[in-house]
Amino acid sequence: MLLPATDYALYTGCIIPLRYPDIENSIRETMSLLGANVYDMIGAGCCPPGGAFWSVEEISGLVQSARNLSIAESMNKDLMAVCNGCFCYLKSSNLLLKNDQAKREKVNIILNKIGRKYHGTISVYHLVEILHDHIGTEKIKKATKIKLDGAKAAVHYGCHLLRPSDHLMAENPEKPHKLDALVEALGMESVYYPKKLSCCGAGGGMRGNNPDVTLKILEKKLLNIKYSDPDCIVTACPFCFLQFDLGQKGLRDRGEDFCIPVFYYNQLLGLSMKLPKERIASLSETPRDGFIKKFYGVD
Amino acid sequence: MKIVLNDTNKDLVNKVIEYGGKRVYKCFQCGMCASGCPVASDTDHKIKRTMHQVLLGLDEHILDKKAIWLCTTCFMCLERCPQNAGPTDVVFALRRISAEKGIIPEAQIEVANTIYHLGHAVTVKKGITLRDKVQAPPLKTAGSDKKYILEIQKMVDSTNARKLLKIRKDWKPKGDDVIACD
Repeated sequence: MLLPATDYALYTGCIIPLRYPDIENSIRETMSLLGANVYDMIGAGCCPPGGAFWSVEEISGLVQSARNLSIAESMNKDLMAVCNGCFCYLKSSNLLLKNDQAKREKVNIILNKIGRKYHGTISVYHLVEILHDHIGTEKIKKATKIKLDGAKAAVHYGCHLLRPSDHLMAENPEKPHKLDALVEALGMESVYYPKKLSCCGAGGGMRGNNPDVTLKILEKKLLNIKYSDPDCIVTACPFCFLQFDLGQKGLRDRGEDFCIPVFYYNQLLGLSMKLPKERIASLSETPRDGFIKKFYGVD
Repeated sequence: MKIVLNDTNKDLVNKVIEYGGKRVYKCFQCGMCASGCPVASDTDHKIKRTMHQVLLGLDEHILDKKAIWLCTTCFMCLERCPQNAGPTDVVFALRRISAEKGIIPEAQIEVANTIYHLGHAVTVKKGITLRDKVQAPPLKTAGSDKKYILEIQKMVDSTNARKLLKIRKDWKPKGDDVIACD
């Protein structure tokens, strides 16, 4: 049974609005065509993820998450996260604050200084949950005009959509299926590849901390993906997207042969709805025009 | 080497518990954590060994080597631990203890300064140029107005993070391309 899909507070995070705004366009425009209204969260800051603030003091991460949650609360709308990291830390914070009165009080003392308050009145959803559980694949199939028959996709879930599963409860952490189902709704085949649930190597501060290791982990991931010879990689996390996009360029700069087109799910959804690629899928370091030309017939 | 657990230094394990690694004692060294770890084979971050070192009180081995900062926080170890000992929670606790001792990598300091000064983990100016290029609507998040950044700064100033993450008032981004995301 589908949950009702109506209005959401759109939490864009950092990478989508400031590095891949074409992804933001693809989300806004496809969700609108599917009948889900998204509203801007005015003044929302970094979620923040685990690498810095959470790693030195819980309250410093928690209070920033609570500020973001309080913005969605003031809009009286459930929050739609479009990045795995944002989803993980905002949902975990919401759960923690709803259940721990002492922490809630501590957070509200700080929020009071900036004229805000956390109440615990909304839920946090990942875009994949909204597309799969609220809107449903049947509606998506009906809304698309071009079917991607014959295209093979390597689906990458990313860590923080799945784990820790006792907090996130978005998917079966060892056998997720929602993003695969969404990809198949576009007519593509979601192919098997080894270690599908493993990390892309970007998170936890790794990309900044150790460029060599981050590329080494990515290379292993890509070798596993190449096993099934897909036409593209599909993800619903902008940090994983960035890692595949810029990371493949980094590997190419070192003389390695990695050039698999990467898409955020809603970019493919939008192209299938005949939205213009200039607005929804034009920013990438790893070329995608070949894929778009072959499967959508667009130059 | 004979290990007498009764005589081990309990300070570290007690602190780990206090800082969030509440179930560290449940670890029985099966190795499931390391089997799914994306960095175990390429770095000095050995999660199974770290769990053991905490229980044995070998803090200088863990904190000084900085390997705990090489965890990608993928939560695979926490998900698969049959004892629910929460290895990732233990890593977070160790990072907090390490930061208190002033041991923290430059990358973390850079991320924190970026968020503190710009409201986001990436630079804003380049973002606005890209938004114009793809005809995205005007930016409305924290990076769009100094008043929201001041809110974030006021919150962070109310915690110990400003000191722990070495946040500087005169910090400037190293370039327009900076992606300090973590």
